[in-house]
Amino acid sequence: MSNGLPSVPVSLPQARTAARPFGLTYANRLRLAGFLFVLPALFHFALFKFYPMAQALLLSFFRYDLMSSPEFTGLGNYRALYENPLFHQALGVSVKYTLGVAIPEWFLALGLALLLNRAMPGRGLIRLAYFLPIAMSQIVVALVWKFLYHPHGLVNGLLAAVGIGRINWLSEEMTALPALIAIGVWRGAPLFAVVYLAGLQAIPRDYYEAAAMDGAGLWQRFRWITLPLLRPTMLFVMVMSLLMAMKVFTNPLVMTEGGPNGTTRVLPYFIYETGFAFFRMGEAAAASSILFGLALLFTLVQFRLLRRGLA
Amino acid sequence: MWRIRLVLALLIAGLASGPGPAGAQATKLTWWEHANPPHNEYSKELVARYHRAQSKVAVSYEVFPMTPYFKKVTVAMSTKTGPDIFTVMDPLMPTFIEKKMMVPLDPRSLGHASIDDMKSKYLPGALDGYMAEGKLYALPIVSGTMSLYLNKRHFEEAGLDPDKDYPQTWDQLARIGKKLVKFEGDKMVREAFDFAMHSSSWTMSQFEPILRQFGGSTLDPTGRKCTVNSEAGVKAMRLRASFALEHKISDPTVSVATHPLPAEDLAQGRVSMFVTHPGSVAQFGPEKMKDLKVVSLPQVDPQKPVTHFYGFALAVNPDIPADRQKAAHGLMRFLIQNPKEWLEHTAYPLPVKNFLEIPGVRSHPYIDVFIQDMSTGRFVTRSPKFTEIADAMHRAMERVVLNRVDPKRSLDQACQEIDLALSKP
Repeated sequence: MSNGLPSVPVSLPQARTAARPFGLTYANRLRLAGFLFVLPALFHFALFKFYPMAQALLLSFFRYDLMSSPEFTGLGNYRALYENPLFHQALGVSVKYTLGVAIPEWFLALGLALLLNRAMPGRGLIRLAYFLPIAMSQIVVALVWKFLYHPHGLVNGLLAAVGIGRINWLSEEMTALPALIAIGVWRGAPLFAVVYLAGLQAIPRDYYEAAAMDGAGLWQRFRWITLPLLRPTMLFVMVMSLLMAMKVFTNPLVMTEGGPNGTTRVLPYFIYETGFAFFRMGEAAAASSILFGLALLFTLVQFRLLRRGLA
Repeated sequence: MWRIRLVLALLIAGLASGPGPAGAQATKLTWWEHANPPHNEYSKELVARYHRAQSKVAVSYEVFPMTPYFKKVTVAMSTKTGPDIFTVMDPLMPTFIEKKMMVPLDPRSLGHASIDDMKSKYLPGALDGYMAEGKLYALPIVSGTMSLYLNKRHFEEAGLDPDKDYPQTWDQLARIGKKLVKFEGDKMVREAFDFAMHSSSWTMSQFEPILRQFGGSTLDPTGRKCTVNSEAGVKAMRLRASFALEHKISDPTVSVATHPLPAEDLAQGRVSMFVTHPGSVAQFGPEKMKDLKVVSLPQVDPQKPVTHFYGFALAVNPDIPADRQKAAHGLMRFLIQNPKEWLEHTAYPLPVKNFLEIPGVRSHPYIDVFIQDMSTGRFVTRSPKFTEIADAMHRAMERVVLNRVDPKRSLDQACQEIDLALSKP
């Protein structure tokens, strides 16, 4: 052996063929075992995710008001959405919200992770503090922020201390969506920072030491070691942050009910309202299918872009 | 082996001693209501009393937050998992009737000879909001209106006599409001008056009376065409917005942020006058009510008063067997037998004809004002598309009040949205 280690005589092919339970080869048994391991999860997904998704897609071709029998309308629901200005508004709001939340999250989370990856006193506690917002229930987060954003609330109180006049965060069209975006970023960035942190800690220290010995500065080490090796993590963060932002629902529901004047009515809220307040489940299903299509498209584009980068 | 025998024996004994003969026959009813703490407490008390009064019907009472409550009812009914009895708000009646979510009530099971006999015992028109094609679909338990609450202390501080100087017209309200509003620099620190801005159903309750005072309506008589962008509609919307934009006695952004109890701004002294329902008397409590006074809703023309009338009512699930429907009627009859108690616990009057003659009722704070406003009240626009209409009107109001969009332009847009909704099956 070229590595100097003694060779181990093995006769795996004989071992594999000696006993063939169920008449399967070793390789096929491995495959079967793998399949059996994922089967429960697959069953769960099929029953509780894929089946409802398929049902929703099917329902998007029917008129259904929850009480009467569904009636086939072909593409009628999609046409109705196309003609509905509120759907276009909701789509626009969703895109603004998604990009408004996800893009700052990518950078903030990375910055946070780099900070939290450094040696500092009380690092564990600081990490915990950043992670706490994620442990809070979404409904609690929404209610707390509603109080904070109140015209007489803490945010305005702090602004007043530095001479900034009262801002009616949730009742002005200019500020309502940015106010919700800020909450999304506040809640999401620490989560993705933890993901980045795991990615950072998986990079061997030797690389940095070797680079430092070669005279590489802080930026060069970040540019040529950290960033390339974090690419798979970045792909995950980018995809997940976009998907999570696209699905936001609780905050607009609890804090603004889509207002003022529809400026915070994101697509999931539009879907909920169309289905359960206006009793047009077919249209709601069509809007859901469009949202799903958009999420899929975003994901595929990101995979493609980042895979090209990885290659 | 003896252990297995023991367990089996215990199980059999347990099964045998489960519900006794009365329990075995007991009909089980489920009753769902929206959250309203004073109301819910009283409902619970009534259920306990009902259990003590008889043993044939067992009632399970459940409460859900207001916002998702009606959606929960709809989904439950569509999946045949709905309650036997549920509380419904009158604007949703056309939708629920169209979707066959309620059984027509039997007046005889409720203790009346016929629907006409029943109507004769209520305030004129009080049952109309719960009827369709001559059938009654829900039994009102509480009825409300929208009246003007004012802070007596603020009035006195401004040199006004709350017993004499209270506004009877919207113009008077604007004039008085200028004496009550407080600024620090250019910042309004106390509103003189405010409308609720937080929900579309409140928008309808507060806007439609003004619209009708100007002689307008949201829909045409057929209910198939939006007419709110008429001259009367524009006048009503202009008036609605004038307190914030023209008279500058109101900051509409404050009550947007005080959801879910915008009237709390009044109780906290952040606003001097506010339009709200009788239930606020119970929600505020006697201590806060000492500072407050209730007067009739201001009018465009006090000689032709138009106010708002609404209510919550009990409906029965049409999918349950006849015996449970009958038991549900019996429970409903029991629940409304003491209108005075309902008033004492919830501060809402029941719109029965002799309500004010019930001993003790007249001593309830401001009951005469509420009954007066109810007597000139009208239900909000009836349509199976009420929710969409209300949402469109809420947005129209927001555009005008918050963005200063021209009322006519905003109402034209609302009509486009409403007509689109009405055109859908």
